[in-house]
Amino acid sequence: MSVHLTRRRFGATCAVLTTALLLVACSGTAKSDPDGDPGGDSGAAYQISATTPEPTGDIDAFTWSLYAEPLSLAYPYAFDYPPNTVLSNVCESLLRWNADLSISPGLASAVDNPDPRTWVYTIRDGVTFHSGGTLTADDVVASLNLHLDPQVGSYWASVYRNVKSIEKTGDMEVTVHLTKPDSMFNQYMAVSPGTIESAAFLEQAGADYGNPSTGVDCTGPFEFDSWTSGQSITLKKYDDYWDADLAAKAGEVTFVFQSDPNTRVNAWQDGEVDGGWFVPSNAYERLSTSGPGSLYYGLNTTVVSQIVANTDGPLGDPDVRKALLMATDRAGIVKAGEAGVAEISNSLVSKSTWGGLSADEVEDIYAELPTYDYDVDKAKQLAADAGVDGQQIVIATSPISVAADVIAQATAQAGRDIGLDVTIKTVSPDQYTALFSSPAARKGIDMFMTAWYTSLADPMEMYGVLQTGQFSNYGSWSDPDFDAQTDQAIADPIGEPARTTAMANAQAIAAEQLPWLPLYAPPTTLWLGDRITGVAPSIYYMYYPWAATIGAKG
Amino acid sequence: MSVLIGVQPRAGRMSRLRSFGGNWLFALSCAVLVGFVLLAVLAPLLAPYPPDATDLLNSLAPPSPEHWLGTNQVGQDTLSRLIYGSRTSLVGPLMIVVLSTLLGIALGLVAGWRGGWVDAALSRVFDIMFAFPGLLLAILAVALFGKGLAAPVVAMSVAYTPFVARLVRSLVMQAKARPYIAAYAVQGFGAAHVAGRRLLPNIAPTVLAQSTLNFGYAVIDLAALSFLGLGVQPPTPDWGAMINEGRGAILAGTPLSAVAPALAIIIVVVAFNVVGEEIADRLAGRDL
Amino acid sequence: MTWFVARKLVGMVLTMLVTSFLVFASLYVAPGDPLDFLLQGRSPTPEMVAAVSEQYGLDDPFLVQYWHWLVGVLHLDFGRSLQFREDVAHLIGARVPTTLGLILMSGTMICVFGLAVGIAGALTAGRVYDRALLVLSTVLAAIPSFVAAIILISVFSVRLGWFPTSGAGEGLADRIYHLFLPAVALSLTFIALVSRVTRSSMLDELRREHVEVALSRGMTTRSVIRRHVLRNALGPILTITGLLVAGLLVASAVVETAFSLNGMGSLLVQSVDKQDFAIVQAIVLLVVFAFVIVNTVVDIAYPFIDPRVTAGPGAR
Repeated sequence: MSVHLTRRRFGATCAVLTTALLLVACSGTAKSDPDGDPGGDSGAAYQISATTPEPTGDIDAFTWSLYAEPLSLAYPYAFDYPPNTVLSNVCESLLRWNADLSISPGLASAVDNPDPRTWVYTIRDGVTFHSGGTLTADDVVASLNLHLDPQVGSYWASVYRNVKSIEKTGDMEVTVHLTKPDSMFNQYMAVSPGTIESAAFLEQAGADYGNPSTGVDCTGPFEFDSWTSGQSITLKKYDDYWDADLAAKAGEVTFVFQSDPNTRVNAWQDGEVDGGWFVPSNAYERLSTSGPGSLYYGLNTTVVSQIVANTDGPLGDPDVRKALLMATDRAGIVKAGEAGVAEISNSLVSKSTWGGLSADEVEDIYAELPTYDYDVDKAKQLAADAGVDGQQIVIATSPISVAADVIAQATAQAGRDIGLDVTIKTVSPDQYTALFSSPAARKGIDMFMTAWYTSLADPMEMYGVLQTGQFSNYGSWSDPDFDAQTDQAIADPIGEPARTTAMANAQAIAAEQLPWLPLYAPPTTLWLGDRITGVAPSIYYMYYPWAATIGAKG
Repeated sequence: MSVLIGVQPRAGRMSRLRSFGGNWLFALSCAVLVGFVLLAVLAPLLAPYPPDATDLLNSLAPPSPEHWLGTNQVGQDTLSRLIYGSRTSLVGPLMIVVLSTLLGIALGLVAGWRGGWVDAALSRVFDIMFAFPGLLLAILAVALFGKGLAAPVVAMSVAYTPFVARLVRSLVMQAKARPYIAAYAVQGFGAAHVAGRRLLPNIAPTVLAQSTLNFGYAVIDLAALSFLGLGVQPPTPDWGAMINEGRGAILAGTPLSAVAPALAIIIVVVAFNVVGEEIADRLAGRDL
Repeated sequence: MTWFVARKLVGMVLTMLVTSFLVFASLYVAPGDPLDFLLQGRSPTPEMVAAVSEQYGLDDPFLVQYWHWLVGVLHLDFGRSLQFREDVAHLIGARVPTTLGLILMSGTMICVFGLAVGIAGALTAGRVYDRALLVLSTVLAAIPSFVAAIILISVFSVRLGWFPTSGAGEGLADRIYHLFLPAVALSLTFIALVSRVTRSSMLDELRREHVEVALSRGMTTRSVIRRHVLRNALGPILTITGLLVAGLLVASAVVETAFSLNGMGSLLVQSVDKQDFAIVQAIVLLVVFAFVIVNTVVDIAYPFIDPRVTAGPGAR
């Protein structure tokens, strides 16, 4: 009767629905055998590339994915991947950071260091702003001084902590006087703290500088064209760019904001978007086996680590920190969180950050570091000896990436294994960002992860952060030996053997005391669709006009 | 979906055509619902693993004898998380429905029974409440009070109340005109007694039908909130949150940790809708 | 009749006033000091603190604050976003086209398909086709829009490549192309519900005496349906459709997030995340206003469609 029919119809509908859901299940390649990868130090399982094929010619336009919308294009707030990725193509700094992380002249054609406390910058002739004006010393003075203005609240203010004055000493010359020798300051002139904007534009834009309706007016190979809130930023080629070697090969670049990793990968595979940094690790396999386009791994200065934010709690004891690290399955984290593509790190600084040393020298330094091999029993013992017995800690995490989740869970597991009572607190991506700048946001948090990249090929950029009292020394860790070594390294000029030794000593102390727990060093990841090529798969994209190197592929 | 389709208090002939021929579907739906409730209550006994036990080397594993539904990104067993997830995924909606029903009955009863300016004032209040769609109010509540289950549940209870209240009010007003109610009044029974002991039991089934339907909507709305990252927070297992977490799994080509909770939601909501409609259908022919 | 319309309009304005007050006052419902709440999660510079205090008039008496805010709203000035350092009105304005496009497309699909399926179901009541549709609509009504979104993307964008996976497109045709799948994801549940209501409403009408009389007097089925049934059945259908289309504004938040569209809904979710309350307040207010206006329009239109409903105090 009708019951019979209904049953069949119901079953049919269910079948349709299940099929649809199964189609979801079958989209994409199936996961391969898990027994191929030993899952340990996966250094050999993936290949690092230094370059991509040279472009054969110019291209009209290309699109690029950003995993988040920048909040502002104003350089004082350019402290993170999304804004820097865009800004590096539009604005330039006094010096330039190259693909191999070396530094060369930029908007300053020459740098002079007559004495340890004085830096004299000769401003390059004939550089024009996108709106038409010519670059002079006035623009440099105004741009650098912006970081000193408390109203602006520059995220880079600490770079200027030893600056006494910034003065125009000639039409095309600016002199910076320091209160004490500081080997870092000049290096920072190659990245955001040294960005130069038109003084007139800064004056005119005021509080609107760098926001979606106002934009910026700089000197780079691309100029700011438009910012459609929530959707994209478009840059157009600037024909009067001063450096003919770096003239843009594309007429236009559009950055689309795609926070969902699925969306990014799908868009890459469909060819809707031509490329992107930050390839989601879940898609490595899928992207490297299916065309069209190529996945590259390259040079990076990032070390992913767990920041100890509270040394008043159980994590205040170095032995407890050691035990926690020993109980953390870092190989497992790399496998689950980065698809095996990363190297376990025992230092907070990647090997690539030691600029100016030979590979052997770097290896020697790293060979001395303790390795904290994964050993839960030993960790438990160490923890018990240190008096761990059910104390509470809170680990903050955010759904910013798969790795973040994996790290939080793995560290929580480690904590529980050694006898701590661990709670994971999930915060939004923006609250997570606030952890890095607001003590209020960090209240009640014992630990949170960071993918800390250095903007300079100089270990002091990392270790300087951990000196007593520094802004980003989130756990207020303090070690007088460490301070002494790092002070010396800051004062010594770059390249001096004594400086290298001091840094190696500082690194050893940090590795012993574990103010932060180093986890692993991942490579930079790059996806290039079939239409484009030319950019180096390197972290340099944060400050170098990388988009200008992209042109048409074969 | 935050807009509710209500049960129409039709006092008249009902549509003779039943949506589903036969009682087997109704029985099945009831069984399904009971099953999920048991899962929620007996979770610690039924789940093979603790829901947050990680196993990083088994990340995104396909179904196997050890893990019937595979694992998620951090190696947690999907089946266990599904079972434990039934707790938050069902308790939240339950509280919303209970709160909104109680409040709605109270307000609707007063408005319908008293009439006059009380009714006019309350109707105005309902208008205001109607102006705030459930999901929107929940989002505003999260903005004010932070993420989690508490703020959205309270907000959505408030948002669902006017639907119940309006239904109760209509039913009460219709009933007031009935001779048997007038008879009680004549016999000297107080208004509260009549309303509570005589009226309420008669309108209760209709309200129950509406509430059952509301449950399904509440499940979807709360799941949507968790999917947006504003509701239940990880690592607490919750079906909506699991679907959000599972998007990474879909990317990797092993979407089961997202598909399983999605199916769970759909099955539960269908079951509630079937039960609710069946009750509504059977009632529609009854006189109040 | 004009008296009826006037009363409805007055009611609408009153409701909007009260709801605007509630939305404004919600700032004070949040735990803690309003200034702390507005600046939470940030390390504000003194300039930021002063700007926020001024924007919200936190030093003024409560009602004065409300008045200033309301006047600003009427001038479409919703204040400034704390982290974009941009006028909220600009940010929302950039998002409106996408959301509007999405809602228009969804609304059209819901009305067209919901009515068509419902009418077809009513006319073929009892037969296989009708039963199948009923079953399908029950299941469809149970699928959350974000699940539908994920399935649609996986099947139609990734697997088959028929549609783009993200973005809102530029230019009319491109936009329609980009918004098609999101609109489908958004409408599925509503189509299911509208078709059910349409069907039952029409079935009720079909059984009425006057329909039988008309048919027995020799009018064709089609004209009977058109002149008698549909018009009378339209009432409940209209009410439901009105509510649904307004509810789309909110449901779009979920779909926009799933499809990475730059609409008002996704901005709302992001702003809650980023604790940018000025944006949250503005969008909530706009949605509530839209909701109230649509409901009022439906209320006013109802008696015109279905004259049996007396346009008087008992109209509700």
